[in-house]
Amino acid sequence: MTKEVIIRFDHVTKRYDNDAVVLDHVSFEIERGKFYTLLGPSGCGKTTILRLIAGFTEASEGDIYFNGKRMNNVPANKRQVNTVFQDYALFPHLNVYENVAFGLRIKKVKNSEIDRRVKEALRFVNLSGYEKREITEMSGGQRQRVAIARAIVNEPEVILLDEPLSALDLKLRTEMQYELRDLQKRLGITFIFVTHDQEEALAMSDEIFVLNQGKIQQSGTPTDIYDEPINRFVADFIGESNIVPGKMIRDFEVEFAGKVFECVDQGLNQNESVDIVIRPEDLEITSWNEGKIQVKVDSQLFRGVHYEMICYDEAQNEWLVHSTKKATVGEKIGLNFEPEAIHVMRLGETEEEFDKRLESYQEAGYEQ
Amino acid sequence: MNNKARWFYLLPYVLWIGLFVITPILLVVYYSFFDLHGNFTLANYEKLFTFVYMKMIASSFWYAFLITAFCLIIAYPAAYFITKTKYKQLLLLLVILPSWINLLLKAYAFLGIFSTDGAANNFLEAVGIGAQQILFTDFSFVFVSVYIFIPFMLLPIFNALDKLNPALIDASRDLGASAWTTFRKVVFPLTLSGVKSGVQAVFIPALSLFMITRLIAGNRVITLGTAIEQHFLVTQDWGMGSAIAVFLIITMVVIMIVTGTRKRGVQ
Amino acid sequence: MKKKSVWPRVYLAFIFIVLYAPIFYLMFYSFNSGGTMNNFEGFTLEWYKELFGDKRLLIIVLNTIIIALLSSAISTIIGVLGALAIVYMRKKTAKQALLSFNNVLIVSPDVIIGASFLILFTMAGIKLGFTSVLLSHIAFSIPIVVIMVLPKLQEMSSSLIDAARDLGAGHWDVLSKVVLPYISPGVFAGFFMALTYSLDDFAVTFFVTGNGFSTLSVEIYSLARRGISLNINALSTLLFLFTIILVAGYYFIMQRNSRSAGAGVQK
Repeated sequence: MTKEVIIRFDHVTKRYDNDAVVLDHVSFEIERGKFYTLLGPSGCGKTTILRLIAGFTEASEGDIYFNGKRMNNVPANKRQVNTVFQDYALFPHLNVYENVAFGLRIKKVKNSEIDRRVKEALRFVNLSGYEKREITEMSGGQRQRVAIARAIVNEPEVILLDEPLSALDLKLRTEMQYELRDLQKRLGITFIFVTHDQEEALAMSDEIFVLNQGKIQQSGTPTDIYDEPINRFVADFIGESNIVPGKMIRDFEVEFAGKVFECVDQGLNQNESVDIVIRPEDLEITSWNEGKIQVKVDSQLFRGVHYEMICYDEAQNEWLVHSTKKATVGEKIGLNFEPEAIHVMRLGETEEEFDKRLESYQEAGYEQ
Repeated sequence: MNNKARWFYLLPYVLWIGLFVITPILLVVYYSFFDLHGNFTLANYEKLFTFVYMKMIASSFWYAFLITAFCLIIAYPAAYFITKTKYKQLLLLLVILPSWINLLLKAYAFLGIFSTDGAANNFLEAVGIGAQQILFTDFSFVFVSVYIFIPFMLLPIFNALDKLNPALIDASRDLGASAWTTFRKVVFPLTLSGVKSGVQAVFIPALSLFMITRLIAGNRVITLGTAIEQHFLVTQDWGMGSAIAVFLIITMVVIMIVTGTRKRGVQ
Repeated sequence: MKKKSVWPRVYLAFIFIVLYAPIFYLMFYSFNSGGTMNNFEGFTLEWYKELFGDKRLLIIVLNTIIIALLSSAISTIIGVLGALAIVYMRKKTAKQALLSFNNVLIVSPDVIIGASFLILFTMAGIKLGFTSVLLSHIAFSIPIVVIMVLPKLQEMSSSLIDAARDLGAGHWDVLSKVVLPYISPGVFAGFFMALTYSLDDFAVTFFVTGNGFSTLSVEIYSLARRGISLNINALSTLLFLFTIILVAGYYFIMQRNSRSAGAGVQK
């Protein structure tokens, strides 16, 4: 796929009436035809980015480009983007057909053309035959699809989705994740999806932007972000993690929990203080003697596919372990892990510095 | 939203506020400082504080208080029982319906019922008490007023009771409160806002009634409303009428502040 | 299951009997050939015949209806614009101020509205009669329309407007294709309330009307002051039926509206 930038944010800042800054000098690029996810806790600024792209709100500073043209002052109704709203925002006084046809009617498209396109859009979202239904007669999942059909029927270049799955129950949500991903592939248009649900983000995206407190913390593919979180926040927000303080002795050697371990990280200062991240599923239970770390099992829960246990080492660090093997509460066990499972995070490292460091590994021949 | 559109919405509405809300009040205040011959004077207000007027004001308040109290005593249990029935929406509609019938017709009906040979006296004779003079008494005035105002008291109380989460009552009982304690400590405090709006909706109009006093009470009862009407339409002393009106407006504002729940209800 | 006491039902039954007895009493005697509201002598339709033969009264009925329809139509337009202006107001204090002004005429006693409007029209040199009555009815109906429309506007999710703009709708399209259809139940309710307020109003009209122009309420008052005449009973029977039809129509609209909303909750 050729790289074609469709939306570009250049140091965009948004603040409301002298209150706290919602977005703080955010810059990023969105490429055509990809599935993007803006991920972060509530209040992190992800929805604000969406509203800025849609044109519902104006940037306080910075520029927003669409296909290379600055569009800060273009009103929402003149933009080539369409939104699927969190509450769907379907017009209650119109039926399914008229909701989908709304945008085309505004543009004064010919009736025969409207009919063709509305039916096609409804077929796309598997709602053929529901044209005459009232919105109130549709279930949550169906409303969701109507909202998507209403957006895609206008053939926009970008579709914005504002937590559209949050109102659905778990089963339907998983189903819709597949459908949305599939729909984006078939349509080939850019999707920008906003969510606070990390599983959703990991499952669907080509690229994820992790946001916190008005700043992009990290961007990259789901595996990048999961495997190499840049800081405590990302590590904590994406999946469950064990984060313990440590010290980089020298390249490929790190100390934490009172011991020195082999690792794959390099290029840090000698004796630099760092945070160590180990994912709970990378920890393996073994006997007390064979383990790299010795812990005592404090509590255990059966989670279906695995057991989840909370253990403490002698330094009273907490270790969350996901294991298919069972342990006994109170038992003293050992934990084993590969050198690759250790993720070293520099304190206060920015994304740029982080990327540079990763590149230096690759030059040295370490492929992740 | 551009500015032009905003002005398009705002202009007629603001014109209305200016012409029919602010101007009339200012005019009333202005007129209250003039006597019959158009001279500036404070005499109207001085007169307001004479014994005759103070007595009239006191009796007007007394009647309004009586009417409001009776309305509350009758309407609260009724509202409570209605929320407990299966057909509460229908019953509520039945309560409201009479309030949509022209006030004058209801007052007129009582002219017949309370007349010397009317239904009320027939009933009194049948139970052995004997016929009474009912029309043109304080009793008839209060009775008819209560009759007319009951829906206005009942509706806000009903709404407050209806909104009350029934789990709260269960919780109170669960925690060991008796039915009466539950009512006193949970139900009544939570429906107090409804009672306040009900009191507002009855007390202020009750102060300013003039049509019922004329038809039902003869001229025995004089309320603030009757006095204003008398001054404006009969004696043509607009200055004095305006002074009483200003007094009524101030009273109204005080009542609104004391029972100030209305704004919250609107918001 | 707790044993249910009969007293609540007895109490409610008593309340409803008292609420409706006067109305049916009035209607019952409209068929009395005896000419009084006391003893029923025989069935007759004479009073209705007399009513329909009374040309002056028919003109008054016509006046009342014209005033009601005109005033509620105009006040609905201004009220809807006002509600939009309030909702789109960005500054909180300005919004609050508009709301307070809006409520002044709603809480003001009729006597004060009537008296202050009387001064206003006299000062402005408007002849008391059709124009002054129409203007007053528009004036006191506007805030009622605003109150009925506002909740609908406030409950409307702002994402609906965003969605319309997102789909390419300009300012006028948003208003005509999304906002107005959405709030239409509130607009209907407002129009309807304005209609009933206008039809029912006595006090304000009584103050601002002049010689030769009268509405039904004022006419009933002057007839009732002269004593009992079964014409009024016949008239009130007709009015009662008319009110029932209006109320039924109103509830039909409200019901349809709440049912579609209710279905949304059910799913």
